[in-house]
Amino acid sequence: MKKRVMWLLNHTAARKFEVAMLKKIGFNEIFLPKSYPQEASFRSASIDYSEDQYLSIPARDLQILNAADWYNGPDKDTWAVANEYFDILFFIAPLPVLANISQNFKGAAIWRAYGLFKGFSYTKINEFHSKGKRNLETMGKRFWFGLAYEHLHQIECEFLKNRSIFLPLGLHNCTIQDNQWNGMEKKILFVCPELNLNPYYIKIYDEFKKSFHDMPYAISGAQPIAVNDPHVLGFVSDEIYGQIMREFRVMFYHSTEPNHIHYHPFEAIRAGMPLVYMAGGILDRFGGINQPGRCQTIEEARSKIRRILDDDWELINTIRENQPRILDPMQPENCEQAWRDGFDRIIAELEQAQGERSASPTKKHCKIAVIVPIGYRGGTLRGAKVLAHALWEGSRQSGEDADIVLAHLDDPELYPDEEFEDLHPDISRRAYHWDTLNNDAARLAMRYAGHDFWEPNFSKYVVPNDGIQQFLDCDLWIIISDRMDSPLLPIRPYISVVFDYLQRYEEIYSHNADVWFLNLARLAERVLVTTRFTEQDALQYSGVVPGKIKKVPMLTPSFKPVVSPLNLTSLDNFFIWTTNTAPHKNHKNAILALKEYYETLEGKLECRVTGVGTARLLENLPPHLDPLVATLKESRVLRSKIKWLGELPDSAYQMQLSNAAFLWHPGRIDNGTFSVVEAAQLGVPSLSSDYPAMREIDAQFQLNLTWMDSSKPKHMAKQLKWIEENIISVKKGLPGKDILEQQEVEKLALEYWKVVRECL
Amino acid sequence: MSLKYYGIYTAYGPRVDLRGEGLGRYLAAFLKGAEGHKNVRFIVACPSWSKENLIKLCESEGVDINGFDIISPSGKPAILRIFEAFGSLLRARPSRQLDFFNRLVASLSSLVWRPVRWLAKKMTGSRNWLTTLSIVTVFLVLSVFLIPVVLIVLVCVFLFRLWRVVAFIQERSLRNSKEPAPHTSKEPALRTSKEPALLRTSKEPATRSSIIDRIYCTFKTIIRQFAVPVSIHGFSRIMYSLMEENETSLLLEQINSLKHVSAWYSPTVFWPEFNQIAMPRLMCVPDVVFTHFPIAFSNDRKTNHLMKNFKKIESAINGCENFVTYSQQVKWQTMVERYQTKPESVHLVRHAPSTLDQFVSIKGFPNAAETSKNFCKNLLHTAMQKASNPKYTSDFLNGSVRYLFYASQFRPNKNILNLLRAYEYLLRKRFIGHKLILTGNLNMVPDAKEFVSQHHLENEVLCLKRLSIIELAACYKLADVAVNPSLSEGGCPFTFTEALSVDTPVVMSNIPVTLEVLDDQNLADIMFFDPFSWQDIAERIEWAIHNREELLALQKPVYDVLSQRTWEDVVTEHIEILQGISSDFNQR
Repeated sequence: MKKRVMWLLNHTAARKFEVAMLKKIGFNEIFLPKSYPQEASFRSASIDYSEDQYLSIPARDLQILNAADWYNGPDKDTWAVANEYFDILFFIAPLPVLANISQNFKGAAIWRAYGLFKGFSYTKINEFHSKGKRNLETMGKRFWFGLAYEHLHQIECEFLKNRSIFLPLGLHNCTIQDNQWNGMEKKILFVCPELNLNPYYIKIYDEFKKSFHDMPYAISGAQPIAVNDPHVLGFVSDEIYGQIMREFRVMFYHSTEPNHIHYHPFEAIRAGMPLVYMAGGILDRFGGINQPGRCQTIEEARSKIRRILDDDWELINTIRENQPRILDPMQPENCEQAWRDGFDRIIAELEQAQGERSASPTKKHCKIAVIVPIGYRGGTLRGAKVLAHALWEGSRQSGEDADIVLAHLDDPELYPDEEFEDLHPDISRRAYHWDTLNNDAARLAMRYAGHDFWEPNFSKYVVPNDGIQQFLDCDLWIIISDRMDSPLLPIRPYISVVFDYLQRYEEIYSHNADVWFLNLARLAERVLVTTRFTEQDALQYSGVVPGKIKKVPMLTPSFKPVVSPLNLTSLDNFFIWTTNTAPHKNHKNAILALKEYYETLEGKLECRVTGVGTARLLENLPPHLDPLVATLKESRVLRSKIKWLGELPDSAYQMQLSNAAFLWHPGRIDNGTFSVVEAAQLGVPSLSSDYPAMREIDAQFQLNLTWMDSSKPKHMAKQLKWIEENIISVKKGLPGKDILEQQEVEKLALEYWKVVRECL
Repeated sequence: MSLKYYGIYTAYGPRVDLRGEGLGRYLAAFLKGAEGHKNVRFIVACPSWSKENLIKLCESEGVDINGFDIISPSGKPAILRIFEAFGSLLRARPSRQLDFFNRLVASLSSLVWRPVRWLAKKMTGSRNWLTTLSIVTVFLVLSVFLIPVVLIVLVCVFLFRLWRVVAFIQERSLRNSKEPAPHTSKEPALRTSKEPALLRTSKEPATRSSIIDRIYCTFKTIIRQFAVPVSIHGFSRIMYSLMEENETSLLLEQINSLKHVSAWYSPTVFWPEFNQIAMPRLMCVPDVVFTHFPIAFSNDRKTNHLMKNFKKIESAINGCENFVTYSQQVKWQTMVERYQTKPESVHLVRHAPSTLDQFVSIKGFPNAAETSKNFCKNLLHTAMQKASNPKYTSDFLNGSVRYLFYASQFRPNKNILNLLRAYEYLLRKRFIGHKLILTGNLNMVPDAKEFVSQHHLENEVLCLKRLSIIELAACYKLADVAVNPSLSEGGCPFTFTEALSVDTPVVMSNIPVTLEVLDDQNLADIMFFDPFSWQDIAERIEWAIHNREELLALQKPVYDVLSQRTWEDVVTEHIEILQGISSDFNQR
């Protein structure tokens, strides 16, 4: 058992008491977090480095822990350091870190509960952050609900009730300083922070004004946003605050919250200032119901305060004499035994849990499903295969061997076996179809899976059905693209690989028709993108939380020539135009550019068109291609110079490409095309439209692409002519073999694995 | 020195919450600025229903309510209290264009309208419970007789609409039988389909549910169209207007009895009855924007309402002798040229800057700037729930979204369409990635609405309606660049100081009112654009995005100079003018 504790909170007053208490019960090494969210709700937080000197862990590891963001969840490497040196940690809600702790921490985690306002509960917080899914429950006996006040568990769910442990909150210093109080300032001191910020306190202040508007008063408490009210003291230094506590005649404490109490009533008692407070709150539990400062009604409070302001010293002294009893439960010596008992239980159950874990059979490899959600072929399918390969390879490189399953729709025509001949032999393949569950069935499935609080938000959900176990044998699902037209049942964590947000630039869908695409990304554990351009769109269009988006390098399948290029001088009298029927491929401008190239600029090279759907492009035209027919009909040259090859097998495509003068990519916008990389691998340069993703591909692979403006057919034609005339010098700019080898899957696999493993 | 009294005339409607109104904030700033003038005391005249509201406004804006006096008719009209008790009934809907049936209803109602109006006027003016209740009883009795007539008309309208729906269904089924849809809804979603259902881009044929929807919508429309002219909503608006007339008469009586007040000031031009004050009067004319965009305003949906306002404005101007404008442009072009006012009667008093930093600047934290930003992100998230496309924004989770911001209601002078053209170009051709966040209602500008729809910008141009002042401040603070493409304003738009007060740079139209104030040539070259050229707007915005810090560094010193002007200065200048017209009056 490691005698160290991570106290992952930053509350200044609580730290003073709890760090001292931990030391008292034998935990002398305590790690404190060195950053916290810069939010107004952390007004009582601060950073303390003073405990670092007592930590007997290497400086390098301490540096890693100190650099971590414990409120948003550090990465697995940081958790590995934490697990090496610590067996116990305290954390606080509300946090996105709940799931992060349960997934990664191997010791006992204590969720520190100081109590919440009426209407809130820790159960609700847990449900909110985990979206009703099984979360802290997975920690079993290693999880504790650490109560600052003994009764806090009463309103919580069974799980929290069962895991509750009483670790009372006290005051670091309970010495009454009543000889310093003089009460010269005949005013009520009312502490009410965040008056221009927090509706809860705004309401409290309004009620206070309503009740005490005719009495002299001053409002203390942090006011992050300036308040235009002469009664409000605003920010005061410690010195002035001490003076206020000595000189104000009386403090009024309004709260009747049964589960939450502020710090300042205790400070008033400690300072010797009479405290008039409302019955029904936690102070009743501490001081009993016979305290002279206790009031049942506002009228009673007004009456007592009026007497105090009018120099009724008998009442003042009675209150001051009796109120120190309220501090008794806060005295460190009165709290110590509860902490010792609590930690005995924590340690005992942790040892038991660790023993059980070591006795259980070793866990097999984790398994990841790479799911192709719709009938993708071509580049996207190749991308899925290469991603699966990268994960298989990356996991092995980091010594965390993962099994990878590639899943595709159960459609043998679309996905014949030959399509997967290039799939890595250790990656298994499964066909599946999508099943739809109505919300009742979805709820039931989630309950069976242990997610007791999950509730459906939609009328139906889809799940991939492989006819076996619906991919539940896989620990993580990776969905290739975001193209799902129904919500995915969140029974497994999933990652969405988003290629592009074309709909932002092209009218592809009707208004709001892409809402499920966006939701898939928004609800994913991570969103993988391969370009900064798509990253920007994921942030700006999909609205995904920034921390979820991970930019990974583009992967290309190794595209080594299966055929030797023929004699270039005799055959490179054509160029390749790879396209398909999608509108963003910019067919209209491409044809106009070709017309200009052949008819005006007397271009010599033939244009060979290849890609899915191009063989019958002119016979079965999508509506946006209608204008092409007339243009083609009008021009004999165009008809003779353009050859429609259709979708070619890889070997045939390579044959064509390797003998082409160059590859032409006149598309308007997308996530970039790998055809230019494939071409470079075969020693063929490319002329490409100039848009952000292609610029990124050009930079990553050092392709030295030639550029054209896809919105200007004349410019496109001019560039065609230019490259035709300068092909020898352009080819000299192609990347060398060594550069392209740096981009092979094996070299980039680890970067993928580092991102994916965080979701396991 | 003897104490001088000046009056401020206000006539806000009963349902106006001054705290949410630009004019309310102006009034509060004015009164706060007046606090420093110990030899002058202002008297604010307001309707009875505004008094409580005015006090709340002062409390929220930190204005000392003992620093000025308030006069108003005593007690609220009894009918208003009844209406307030049934507050939910008072949410008046925008008037709709009347079709044939509505015109029929309007004709019928006009037959009974005159006697009803007489009764209503009596009722709204009454401060006596007994009188009010008697008249209410008469109304109820009349209503009982009218109900059968109303029902008959309602049934006729319903049958007519139903006939139109049936005709639509028949026409649609005929067309469907001739032109089979390229995709049918029988295609299973996702299941082994090569193309998911959502990839289908064609306009879907009318499905059964869409026909049911149409019937439902039609029924709703009938009820709404029929109901509005005779409903409590329409009726309440008329009642309000009558009540306002009564209240104004009482208020003017009070005002004219105050002989110690040297002169009166009206902070806006919407209240022609201000001219019934027998003492010297000074009226503020921010602008008369209708005169510059007559065609565009003539097409406005609220034509009747606007026409009434326009007439009120002209009547107010024609009846007054002394004016204040915020700019030379309005003084000369509007007041002198259009309304033939004597130049010496029109005084120029510029605004003090409007700032927003006080709402979102957080202090007392180690990293106050970051804390303030996070606070704003939470506010932006709340504001996004008020967007025109909530289906898209409700789960928009990126608090760090980058956007351009233009805070303004939509009016023809705001040049929204050109801003949209520039934005569409920047998004689609220059790939800036930003969103465009606006605060108006696109329905007010049909051209712009159509543009957004045609260019499928619904998820890019987000109109956040009814923002609170704190949300507005947060939107400004988090914007990359604030933009103001307006073609015409009464004074230099607040966009400049509001944005810079929260450290957001601004690009703006190079219109005369702006150039009067922002006359630094170095700044002019980089922050202004020609609002008539969307290309120029786009170029400036793109430059500003890429050179944000440089622009901010250049604009901040100008902002610092402008922000030295205070509301006390504004009040001082007003007092000087009030003194001047008061002594002229006494000399006559």
